[in-house]
Amino acid sequence: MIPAPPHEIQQSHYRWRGAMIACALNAVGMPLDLAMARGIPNMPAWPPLMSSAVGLVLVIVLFAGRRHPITRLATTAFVLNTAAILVSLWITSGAYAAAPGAWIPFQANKLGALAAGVLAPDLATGLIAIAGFAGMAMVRYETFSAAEQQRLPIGEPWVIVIYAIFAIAMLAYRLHSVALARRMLHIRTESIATQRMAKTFLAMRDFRNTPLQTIELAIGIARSRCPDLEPVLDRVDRALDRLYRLNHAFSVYESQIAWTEDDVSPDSTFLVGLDPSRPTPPP
Amino acid sequence: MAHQSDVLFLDDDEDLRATFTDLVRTVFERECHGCGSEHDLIALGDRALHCGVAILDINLGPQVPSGIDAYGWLRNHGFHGRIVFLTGHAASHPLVVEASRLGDAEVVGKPVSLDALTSLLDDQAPPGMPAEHAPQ
Repeated sequence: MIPAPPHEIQQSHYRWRGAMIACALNAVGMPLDLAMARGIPNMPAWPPLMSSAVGLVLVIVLFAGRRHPITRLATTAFVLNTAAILVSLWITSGAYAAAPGAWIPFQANKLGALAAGVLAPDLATGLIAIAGFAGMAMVRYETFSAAEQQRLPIGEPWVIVIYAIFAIAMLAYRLHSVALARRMLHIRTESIATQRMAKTFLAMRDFRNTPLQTIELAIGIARSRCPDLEPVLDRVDRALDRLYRLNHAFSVYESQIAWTEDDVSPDSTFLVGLDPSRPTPPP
Repeated sequence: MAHQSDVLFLDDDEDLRATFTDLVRTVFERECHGCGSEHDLIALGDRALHCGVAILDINLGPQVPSGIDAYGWLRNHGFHGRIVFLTGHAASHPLVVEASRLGDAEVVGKPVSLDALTSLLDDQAPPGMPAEHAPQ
């Protein structure tokens, strides 16, 4: 099986890591929200706990697949995590709005939208999550009574739209940077592979030069000792000439090589896979 | 005792060494001292130092002294003959570049033809090699 290219592996890991952090923040953050809302009348405990539990389960699922991260799993986990948060926020925001005292509305939605811009595995998932956080706040606002709406600060619920725009900009900028880094890694991987191939071809050529030299000199000896073999040796000469030209063709790879300390005296026999300890296969 | 017409040949390939030695003795009717490493060269001692021409393979294998080290030993011990590096490596290879910078030695690429070898073994040959001898 051919392993996935490094830039694709890196992308899968990157998406997996974003989903993992988002789920972990949900698992840890929601109980904190519950703690802060202790004094709020009629504040149900189950929505934050449910959201936190969903985040925890998703963390476990993602952690189990950490060795071979699957992009689809990361995306699905991110969407499920966002959905669990939105359900919880929908319910708790009603209790906050009905409670006496000042409430700065939809703080978690604003934070969630920005977090989606930073952590979403891909553009579509990020846009869905940002739209979810912003849309939920705006729809939820419409469900509040007129008295509750009047108690909210000026500009609500439209402030969330500004947050959403910033989150989308952050998402786009981040994904562009990631794509750029991925392209760079792809180019670097290709360059390393080309270097390796060029070195192997040159090693093969260099390795051939010594046996070719032996044949060349052996022909000279044979020609000197056995003049009768001249026609045969001429044919060998022509065959050698073709091999020389083949050798010359490999010269194009020379310019592609950046020599390193390790290349100064490479063991050509192993570089080209010719282990001298193994017997030569029969012709 | 070695003679000025003797040839010193240093290469780690046993077949090439034997063939070269055989060729020099048969075709050129000169004595040839073959050795496979710098260690063998040092063991030859005066027989190596009194040769008229030394043909040295640049790369004698991984983790062992190179032909350039052998060149250093020869020159440090009073070798006054002609030194020719024979290499299968590209001209851009670090060892070949280093050998080319030595100044009083020539670098010739393998495989070298019999005609080119004849001019290499000719003591009267002017310094500097024809283009066909240059490493690939």
